[in-house]
Amino acid sequence: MSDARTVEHALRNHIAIILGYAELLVQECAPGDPRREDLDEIYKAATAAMKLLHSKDSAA
Amino acid sequence: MNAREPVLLVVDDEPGMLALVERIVRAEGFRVVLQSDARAALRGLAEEPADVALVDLQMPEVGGLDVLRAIRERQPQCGVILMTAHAGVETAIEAVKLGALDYLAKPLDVERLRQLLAQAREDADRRAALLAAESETAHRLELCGMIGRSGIMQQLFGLVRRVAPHARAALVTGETGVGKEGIARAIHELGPRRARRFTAINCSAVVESLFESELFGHARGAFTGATEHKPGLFEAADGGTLFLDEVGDLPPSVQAKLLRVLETGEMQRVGTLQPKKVDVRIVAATNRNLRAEVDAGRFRSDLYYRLNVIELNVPPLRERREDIPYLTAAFVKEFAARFDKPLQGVGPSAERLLMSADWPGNVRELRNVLERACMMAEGRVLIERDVIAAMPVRRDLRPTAEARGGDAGPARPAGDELDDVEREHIIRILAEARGNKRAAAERLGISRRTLYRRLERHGLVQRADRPRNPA
Repeated sequence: MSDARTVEHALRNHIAIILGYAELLVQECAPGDPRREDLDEIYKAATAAMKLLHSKDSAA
Repeated sequence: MNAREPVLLVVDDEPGMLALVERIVRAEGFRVVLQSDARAALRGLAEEPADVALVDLQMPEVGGLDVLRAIRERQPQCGVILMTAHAGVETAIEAVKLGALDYLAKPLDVERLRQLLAQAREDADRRAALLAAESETAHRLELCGMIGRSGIMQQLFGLVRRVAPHARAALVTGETGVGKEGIARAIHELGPRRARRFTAINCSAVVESLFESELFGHARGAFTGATEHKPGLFEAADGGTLFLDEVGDLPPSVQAKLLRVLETGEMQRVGTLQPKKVDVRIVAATNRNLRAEVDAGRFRSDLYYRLNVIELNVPPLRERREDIPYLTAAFVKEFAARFDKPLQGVGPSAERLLMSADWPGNVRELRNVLERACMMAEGRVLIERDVIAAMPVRRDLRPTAEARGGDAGPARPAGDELDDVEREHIIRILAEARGNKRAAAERLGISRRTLYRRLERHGLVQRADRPRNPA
């Protein structure tokens, strides 16, 4: 794997980890918990980052 | 019921991913093993087998597909789920072809993963329960008088368990003494008719003229001496199992009648025309090659096919020598109790001898030899001499003076038949007297001193065993 590919692979994994924890915490949030909104922001940003990597894939 | 927690192995080169998976499955009831190195994971698998493995596809050096292959090969009962940050159709197909349970894309779908693990857990529990049930059944088979830890016997036991609930007829084949009747009883015991009767008849032991009446019964006046209505074995076995041992010896006339019962479920007592319905499961056994008997025209082929719905071949003892120590232990225990002796087992050289013998008479012969050996044994352990003395005399296998422990007794000329008869007779009387030499001597009409001399002469006892001053 080239350096760029290695970095990209690691990046995907890290984002996947962020998303995984975010999802777990969202599941465990009681309804109406004010932290829920913050978690949604983390989740949205990580998802957007993952999409960027994907679109880079399909552009290549 | 199953106290053991199933083991989940997680392999990913990214430690953060391992921690995440552990967090996700925390409440799923698995013992979780985390490995960031695929090689270490495979090494660890040998020590602690896993029930499920969750494996990353892209790892340096050893890839996920290689791990999958290795696990499928070494622990086929372990389900493997692959995960990848780069989902691709080709690898997904390849993974499923190699036997992966599923293929998950990262970021992991938490619910999907939990679902898969719950399913895998259920499977693992079911397998454990099945295994427990199987060993229970194996135990039951041992109760039927059979011990079979060897692969071929386990296979046979497995087949017996599978056919017992269904087969209407079965043919048990194997050499004399291998335990064909034991298998027949197991088929009965493990089948739906276990509460009904198991009736056995040895077809080679019945006079041809009495066969019909033996099997089907007779009406009063059917023939001279038939003063009463008498039900035959078929009626006695109605609803149960009829075991026809040595079925190859069945006379042709009876073969035809037996076939009719099998085909129509109806039989007639000798001397009546009225058919009677019987519902009997037939288990037949033979030590002959029944196929060859058919070809030679001595056994009806239609009957052969009726009986041979399923054939269970019991292997000879020499093909499953690894069972000999277990059989020996069981027999020694049995006879020690019967003869009220403190025997605890078999010495190493005696065991070697038992392991290497040919056993043309198979398990029955082993049992007989151990019965005699236990009877003669003086100590807590059966030694080589006890076993040699109990082995049947075979011209070519006769123990030499050396094998008898350098016993200085006179060498016996080969072919001395009378000697053999005397030896066998002494053994039999001793057996009947349960090894009590005083009683045996009395029954033989000789003094104890003479008995000891004979025992020495036949290599049945060592000189040193002789009491210094016999009464």
